[in-house]
Amino acid sequence: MSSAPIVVSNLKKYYQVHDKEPGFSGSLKSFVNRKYRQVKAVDDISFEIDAGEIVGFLGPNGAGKTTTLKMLSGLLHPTSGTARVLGFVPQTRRAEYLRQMTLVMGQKQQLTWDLPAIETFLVNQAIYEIPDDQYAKMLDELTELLDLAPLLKKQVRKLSLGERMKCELAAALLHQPQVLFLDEPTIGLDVTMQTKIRQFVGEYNRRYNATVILTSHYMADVTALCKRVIVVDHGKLMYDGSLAELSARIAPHKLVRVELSAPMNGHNLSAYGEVLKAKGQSVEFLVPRSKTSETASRILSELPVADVTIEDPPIEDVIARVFEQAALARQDRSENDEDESGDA
Amino acid sequence: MLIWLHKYFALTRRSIGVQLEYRVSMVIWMLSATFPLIMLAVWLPMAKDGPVGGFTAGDFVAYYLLSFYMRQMTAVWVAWELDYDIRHGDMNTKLLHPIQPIHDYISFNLADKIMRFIMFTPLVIIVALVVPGVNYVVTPLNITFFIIAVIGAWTMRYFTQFSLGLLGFWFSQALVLVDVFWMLFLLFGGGIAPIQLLPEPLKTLAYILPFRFMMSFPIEIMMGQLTTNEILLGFAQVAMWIVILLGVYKFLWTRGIRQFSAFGA
Amino acid sequence: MDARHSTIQRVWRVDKMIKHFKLLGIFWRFSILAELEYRVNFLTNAFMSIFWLVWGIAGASIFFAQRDEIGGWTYYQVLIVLGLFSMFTGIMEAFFRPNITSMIEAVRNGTFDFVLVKPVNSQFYASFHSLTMWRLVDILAGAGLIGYALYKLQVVPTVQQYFAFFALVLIALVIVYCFWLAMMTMSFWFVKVDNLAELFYSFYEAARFPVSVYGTWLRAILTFVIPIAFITTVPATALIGSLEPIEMLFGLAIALVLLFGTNRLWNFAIRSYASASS
Repeated sequence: MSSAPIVVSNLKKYYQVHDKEPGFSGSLKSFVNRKYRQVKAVDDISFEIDAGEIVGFLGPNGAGKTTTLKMLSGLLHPTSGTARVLGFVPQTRRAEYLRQMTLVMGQKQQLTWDLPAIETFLVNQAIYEIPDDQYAKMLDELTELLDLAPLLKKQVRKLSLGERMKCELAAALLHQPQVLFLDEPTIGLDVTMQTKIRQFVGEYNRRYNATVILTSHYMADVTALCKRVIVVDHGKLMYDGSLAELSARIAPHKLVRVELSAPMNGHNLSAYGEVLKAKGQSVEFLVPRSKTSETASRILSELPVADVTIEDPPIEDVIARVFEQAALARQDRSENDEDESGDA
Repeated sequence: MLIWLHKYFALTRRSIGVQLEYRVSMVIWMLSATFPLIMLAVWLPMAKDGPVGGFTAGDFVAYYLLSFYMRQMTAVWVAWELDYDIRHGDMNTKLLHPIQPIHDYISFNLADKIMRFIMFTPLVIIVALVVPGVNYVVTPLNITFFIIAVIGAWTMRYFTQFSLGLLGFWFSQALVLVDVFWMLFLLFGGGIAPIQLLPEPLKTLAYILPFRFMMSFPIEIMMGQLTTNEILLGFAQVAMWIVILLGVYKFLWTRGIRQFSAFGA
Repeated sequence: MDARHSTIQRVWRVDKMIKHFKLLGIFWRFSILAELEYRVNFLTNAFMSIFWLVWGIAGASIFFAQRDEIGGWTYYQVLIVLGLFSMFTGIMEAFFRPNITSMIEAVRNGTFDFVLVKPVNSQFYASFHSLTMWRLVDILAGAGLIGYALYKLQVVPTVQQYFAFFALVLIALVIVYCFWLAMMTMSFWFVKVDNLAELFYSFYEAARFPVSVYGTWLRAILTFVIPIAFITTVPATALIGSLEPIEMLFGLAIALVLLFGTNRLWNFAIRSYASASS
């Protein structure tokens, strides 16, 4: 057995949903006889995460990210397959396990609306049985890292969204968990606040060597924090590895931007690569990775160049491409077998 | 007029759809009206030794059967809807629709009434036929009187509760008043016991206050306890109360919306 | 070895109980703080409690306007039942209602997940984390009515009778808790459990009167099927002095069975919640 804190093998979660046809007759029909359909939220996923790693969990809405996080935090029983976190089977929800992990959901809050956050902290102190001295120390640290001092005594309903998120994080980390599941922790926040939360997560990870799984819609969160990403789509694992490698594999091209010193009329630009944009004196090429340096030197020698930059395409585009390819692959598959749904 | 009917039809149809989605809670709400049956269960053993204040066992069954039916057919919960909408700002959305919000609320209630009518009318008729000693005055004229009185009772209850719910624009505790109203309604409207059986001075009060027309009056008609003149006089009183309640509603609504748009939710 | 093991277990249990009492204190302090934010509630609740009690007495007096006794109980004896009815309403509204409300809310918007990831017994947390202090007024009002009725009856219960009374109230508390826990458990499967509470209250209305006023059938149902008799009637008989000892044993048995059964139901629900939701 592996010693990694998070070990997931062949994890599956299927569940039933019922559909309602529109209109009155649809309501009546579903009143009498509900039709159910099976959805494969997570479909045979395996991975391991080492201590101290921050892993980005990527995928479009409904890809199975949250479902996986819920299974890892013991909220959902897997349909089949196993997960081990810190050696525990999450769904048994042993107190020893729960005391060492935390779950933060950016869309939901655990703080009580009408009271200052510090009151919820005290309740959590009791629930997690945190000794007074350790509680005081941790509260000090979190206060310093998150600038909580002016927020703690204000009623939660009077805090801004970003301030509330800071307090949510603090409430979730008071017991100094070893494993963090962060589901969209920066959702809806402005850019400065996103950066602050991001920095904080990084800092916590360094200080306590905590293992973190993070989902986010904002690629900036992922690029700043995660060396490694896991990409899921329609419940399937699409990619598991480093961010850099992902760009290399999915986007085997580099972006070459050229500023010309004179307009190039009539010159055949497409000889150097796929022209993405040609506007006045600035041109953008998509060049195969292997030919990047060769093409660049040709451009330099053959064209009147003022400036050249070579870069990776933006990560958003890369990810979008992963999903496009996955969608295409799925279409191929479903043409072969149509029979995925059924009544229950 | 036709367009208006069409709108109502569409609203009500949608409301029935919504209600069917919540089938379990619908059944539960209907089962919750056991209060009249409990009160009946207290009277029945008492009536074994002879009529109680002129009511035989059969009269009690007849009374509480209709009391149960009245509660079903005039059930109103709009104050809670208003409270929710005011608090959560859903009122804003409703105000944007090109139709007065009250019609939206009423359509939900009408949909509910249609469902309850279909479920409970046959039930009441069967019980009335099966249980011995249950006697109603079943003439076309009397039934017409009864139906008018039920509609009057619903209208009075609906607008009273709507107005109390509107107080939510000003006070967060408006629902407490709805509870107070409900308890007075049960006591003085004949919900606990027929108002003829109330001890003084409750009995005198019951005949002065409007609550009688929200439950007792239609039952009195069906049980043949009133002369035609008394019925017509009752209708006049119902009409008067409805005019007053509509006035109060209009007043509170205009003021309330002004208050709401000035301060928001 | 065996003996040592059981000692350790006992120590562990005492430990656990202390922890839970401490938690209860922290939860209730928290609820009270939250409630103090809304001071108007105190006045309206106090007003409602009194109004409600007067209303109940007026309701009972209608029946006594026609007869001197109903079901073998005199007016002031029925007022003792009514006092207990008010006390238990207060208990349910103060301790159980706020928890079922927040449970429904939490299941609906998914924050119940936060309860499940906490190292605390979920049934304990869900049942007791919230308190509506103002409704304790009902308990006081009910106790006051019982005292008044006893005074009017010129009855001074013996120590044994008081002991039996408090034991029966405790049994009644357990029974009532089990009803609410069962309803709370339903919120995993049905969206609008608030209605279930209404349904319960509509049956609970029957507890305004001693069960002997009802016909044989209804009395049997209220004793054995929905054991409402044990909430108000049986404790009242202890004060009046007409308690049958067998009723006490029977009530205890019902309470224990319900406690065990509803706990199993809760655990089952938690498991199926975890395998069904998304």
